[in-house]
Amino acid sequence: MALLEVRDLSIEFETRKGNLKALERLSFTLNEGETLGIVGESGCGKSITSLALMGLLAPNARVSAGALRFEGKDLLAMNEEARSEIRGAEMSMIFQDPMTSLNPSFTVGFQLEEMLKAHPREEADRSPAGRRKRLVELMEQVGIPDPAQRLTCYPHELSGGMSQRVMIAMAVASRPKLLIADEPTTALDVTIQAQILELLRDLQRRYKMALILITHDLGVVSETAARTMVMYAGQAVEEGPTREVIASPRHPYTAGLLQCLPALHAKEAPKTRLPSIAGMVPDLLARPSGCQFHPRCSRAQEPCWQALPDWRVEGSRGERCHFPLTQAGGGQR
Amino acid sequence: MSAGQPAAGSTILEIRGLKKHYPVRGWLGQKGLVKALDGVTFAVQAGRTLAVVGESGCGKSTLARVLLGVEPATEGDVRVDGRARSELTREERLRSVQMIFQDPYGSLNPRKRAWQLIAEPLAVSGKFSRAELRSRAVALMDKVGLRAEYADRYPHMFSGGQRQRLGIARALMLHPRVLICDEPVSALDVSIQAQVLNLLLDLQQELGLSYVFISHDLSVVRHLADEVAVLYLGRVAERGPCDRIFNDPRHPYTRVLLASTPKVAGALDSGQAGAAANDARFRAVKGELPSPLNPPPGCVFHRRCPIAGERCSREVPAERQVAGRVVACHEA
Ligand SMILES: Nc1ncnc2c1ncn2[C@@H]1O[C@H](COP(=O)(O)OP(=O)(O)OP(=O)(O)O)[C@@H](O)[C@H]1O
Ligand SMILES: Nc1ncnc2c1ncn2[C@@H]1O[C@H](COP(=O)(O)OP(=O)(O)OP(=O)(O)O)[C@@H](O)[C@H]1O
Ligand SMILES: [Mg+2]
Ligand SMILES: [Mg+2]
Repeated sequence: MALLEVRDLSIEFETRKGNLKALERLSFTLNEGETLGIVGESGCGKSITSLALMGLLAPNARVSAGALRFEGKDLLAMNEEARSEIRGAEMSMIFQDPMTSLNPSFTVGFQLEEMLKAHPREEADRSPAGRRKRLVELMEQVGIPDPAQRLTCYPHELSGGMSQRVMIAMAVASRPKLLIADEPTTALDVTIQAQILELLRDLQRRYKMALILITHDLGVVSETAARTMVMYAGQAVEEGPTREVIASPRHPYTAGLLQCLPALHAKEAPKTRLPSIAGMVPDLLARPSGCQFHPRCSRAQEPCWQALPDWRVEGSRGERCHFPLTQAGGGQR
Repeated sequence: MSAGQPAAGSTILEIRGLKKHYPVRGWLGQKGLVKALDGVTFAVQAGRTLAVVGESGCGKSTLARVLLGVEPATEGDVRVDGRARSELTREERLRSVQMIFQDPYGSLNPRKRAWQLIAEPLAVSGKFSRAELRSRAVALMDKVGLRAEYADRYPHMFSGGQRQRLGIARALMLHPRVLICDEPVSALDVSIQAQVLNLLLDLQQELGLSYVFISHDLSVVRHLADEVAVLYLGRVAERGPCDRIFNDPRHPYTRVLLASTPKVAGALDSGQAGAAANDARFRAVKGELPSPLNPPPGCVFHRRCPIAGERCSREVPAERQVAGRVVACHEA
């Protein structure tokens, strides 16, 4: 049984300008200890997907799904109390903006301790002295130097990299089976990013934790996630083993994204024009007909504006395209 | 447009030992000095791109403000085309260096129409009629790939990439020789980022512009730059031709930056990375940028440096020539 099963997950928002279909029929499964990278451009639905899994969407959201199961349990059928128990203990999340999720008026130590009290995992978690020890351990584990002193700090007294580590400590304190990390390194420098990614890989190995890693950086998924899902305008366009998706993308959008990234050790001559994807992402309140990518796609033909392609699965890979790229046909940069 | 264009390859912008110190009050009220820039030297050639890279807080934006002339240097001078900037007239200053910003939205007045925003730098002189200003603005919109029909729109009606084009058009209004670009594509999605980078490349070709390109994205820098200066805590760790710095980095901090940059494996990027970038010693280096209020003694990088020797904690390394570039490291 998969740890997480998502089938045909859709999200709509009621807005003043009308009904906004932000997520359409998203499907994937995740096993124990596995990492799934979700990539896509701003507004494509990465954060709302994770908020839907956590049950933390805004009140104007309407969620529907063919199946949304965690360890076989139907998340949508649960009452709020049961959901919130799972949320703290079994699945947890690192939010995109660390400053909004740490409470500015309490010390880091206080906030971490509340977490342990609510979801004790070890005998030590039940006594103040035991918790004290665990807090220091947790802070050490996420690589915070001078942990005992740092526990007395307020969030604003920490650097960006430090607060991100505190967030991670908070999220893994209860040893969740699933951790959702929403752009955990976007605001950080590359040297700190490398430290945080290493930390996540380490925690994952140690606790067999499954990880959903949300990012817009293909380099980050490439180094961290065994599988990758590419999203565009609220839909998955492609999913599969990361290496394969990158080496032979099937959806023209994935291929385009890979091509327009300059490379660190490039074959292409410096200072030449980069391939780019013309146009921009659609307005979700005025979606194009058919395939959402067709207005920007150089391969688009009649079927592409006639009908939305089905999600097609072949072996370990899935894609949503009428005319997927073939192995020989390119995508190779 | 090309009236005063210098020959390609001549030095257009030069700084030597540039310092910018900010007096600040510490959190216990004691006085301190933030040495945001502490002796930076480099030169920008006409028609070329110098990239400035480094971690948050290393002094990149401070450098941009001092180069632009909106803040005075504490020490050292900015020379434009061989003349000290203090000798230039106001008009000459404006025509020498202009800037485009990371956040095109925050830097554009939301109540002005696109053409007014673009024409604003020229409008302040009061020498031009409204019709003249508008027609010049529309001509520039065409140059940066914005439709003339959008001339009367307000900034919020443009997408991020279009707003960045607006900012570029506005910076070009006075025909500057040097454009300072502070993280011009960091706020943009990757598919839009390539469009804006291409525009910058085209404009350089066409107008012979020089860029000081500030970025934390080494892949973008690799693609765009002729020369690179790697900054660490207000000092230059290493500077020289882009090829040399990327293929054969000598300063351990440069090597750390290259090793820490995530690579898209299998998409040709990996594997070809130089041995230096794959050296495990330089991956996941510990620690963070030290506080500029209280920098470590000796080499400012030594506490994070995987190859630091005993001398590094005592003696500030001087800049010296090594293998065709300048490095400030005892061990390089
Ligand atoms: N409460 C809401 N009401 C209306 N629309 C919303 C709401 N929350 C999110 N949206 C819309 O849903 C879409 C998806 O948003 P989401 O935050 O998931 O994007 P994202 O992929 O995480 O983008 P980013 O990379 O910028 O974080 C966006 O168009 C957003 O404007
Ligand atoms: N007006 C000021 N007063 C005091 N300190 C300042 C001032 N401006 C900048 N600093 C300090 O100078 C240092 C360099 O800042 P700067 O903004 O130049 O960094 P940066 O390299 O642009 O960083 P980022 O990548 O985050 O934009 C920082 O420590 C900053 O706090
Ligand atoms: Mg998001
Ligand atoms: Mg800056």
